Amino acid sequence: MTEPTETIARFGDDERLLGIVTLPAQPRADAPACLLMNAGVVHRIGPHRINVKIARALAALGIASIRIDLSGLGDSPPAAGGVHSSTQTVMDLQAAMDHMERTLGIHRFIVFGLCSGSVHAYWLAQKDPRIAGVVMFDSYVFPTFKTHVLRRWSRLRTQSWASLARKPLEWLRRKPRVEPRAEGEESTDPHMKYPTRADFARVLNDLTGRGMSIYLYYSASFLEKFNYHGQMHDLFGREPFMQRVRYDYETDVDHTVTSLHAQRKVLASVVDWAQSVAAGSSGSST
Amino acid sequence: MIAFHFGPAERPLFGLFHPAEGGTPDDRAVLLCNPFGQEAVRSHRFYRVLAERLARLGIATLRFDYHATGDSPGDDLAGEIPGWVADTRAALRELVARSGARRVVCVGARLGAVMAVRASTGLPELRRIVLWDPIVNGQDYLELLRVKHVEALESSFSLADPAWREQLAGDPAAFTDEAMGFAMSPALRQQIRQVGPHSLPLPPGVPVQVIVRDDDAAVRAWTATFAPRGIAFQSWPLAESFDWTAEEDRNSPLVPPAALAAMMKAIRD
Repeated sequence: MTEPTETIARFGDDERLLGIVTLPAQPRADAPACLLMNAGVVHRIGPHRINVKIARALAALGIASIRIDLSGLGDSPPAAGGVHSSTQTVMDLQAAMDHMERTLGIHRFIVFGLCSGSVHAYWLAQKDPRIAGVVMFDSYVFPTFKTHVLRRWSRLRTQSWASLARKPLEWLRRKPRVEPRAEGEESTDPHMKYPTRADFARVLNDLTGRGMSIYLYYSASFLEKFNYHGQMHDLFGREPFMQRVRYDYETDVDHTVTSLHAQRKVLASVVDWAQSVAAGSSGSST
Repeated sequence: MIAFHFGPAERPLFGLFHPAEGGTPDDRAVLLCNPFGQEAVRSHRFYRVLAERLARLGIATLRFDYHATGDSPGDDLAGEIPGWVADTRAALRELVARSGARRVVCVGARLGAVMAVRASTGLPELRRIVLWDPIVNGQDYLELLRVKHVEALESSFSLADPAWREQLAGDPAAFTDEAMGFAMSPALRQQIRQVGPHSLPLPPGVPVQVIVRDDDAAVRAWTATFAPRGIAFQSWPLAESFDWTAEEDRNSPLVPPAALAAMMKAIRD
């Protein structure tokens, strides 16, 4: 197999932002290009170099990509300011798409968003009609009653009998704890507001109704809020989008794809999904 | 900052060159050699800040990714020390060519110390070697990577699998082909295993600066041999270690001020 070519891209205002474009040796006609970005503060290569691995695996299938450092992360300097950071992120991703359009003539894009990247992908998908598909890896979670029961059960299973015997006393002594609400949390940054369940459903119904491919991928790193495969069905089973999205919950994959096993699994799934989007299918498998 | 590819056509490398921007004109230039795997991801921001500060003081600096790491071509499994030493030599040549420097400081953190020392030997422009928490015992380092790999799994999964600890304790071969998200070939493992003081042949007449934790006995034992061998040496002790292996979302600083200050002094003073 011929190796892909990687070139350096400077784009955005004053060519401030840095990205690496991976070009397939044999580009697939009309295929979308993939946007890859930082997860948390990890630079453009992604956690454990997963963005590089995805970029090169996609190139082998004829799909180009750009992995970028958003403003203030990796090797891209901060923006001049004046807008919320998440608004700036959407602008940065749009600048990356502009660059790919201008230099490669690609007009459709898919986005791989992991961790904070999944939130950015969610907002970008709503803002830019060039987005054909989105992977939201460990994005918004909405626990059910069963989630809480399973969480307590799984914790109990890992504790000794002696520890369990002390539990009733501990519960009596425990002071009420006020936890911040996840759903509908307030923030001055409009994009950082945690959507309500209804908002999430409305947005996904809208996006998939427009023909966008959505891949919801959940790892086993947030079991306190997401811990069984049927959780999405229990929450959104009657929503039209559940028939259109691809959805996976993997108990042997963690949030930062630490093991090589997890990396292979995520890589295979994402590449398979991207191929289906390139072929014009929604890639759904719920 | 200039991003570019350099090196042999059959083995291109990704580099980031920070040209001298100001300060007093300086004929020194600095090469920063990455650690291995997650430790390299961890130190990315530190190296960027360090390079920017040096450039502002008039000292050109080059960062780069070895073959099969970061943005350079190559799969994880293609990483091996002799190749990385050759990559570092290519980076030193590139630094001298781009900066026009007559004096070069070669900096290596963790396993990067091996590349910094081996590659810079014989470079006419070499004036100083700076090592940060260098790996001087490869066998111990491999064991540390195994332990940290399991800790990373335990930290990242909501429910830790007790079998991981059992495997770690009972099977010396467990968790040896990967380390915190990065694959290691048998050849690379063997090369790391062989790392010891003998594999850090400090070039004669070149001063060495070592930034090291107060409690790192292995490095202290190694540096204790410098004076009898006539090696000019200065130590920059750090009270607190840099957290080399943490995931980025953990609450530990990426650019600890004490480490940055020590590094700036070790390079410039």
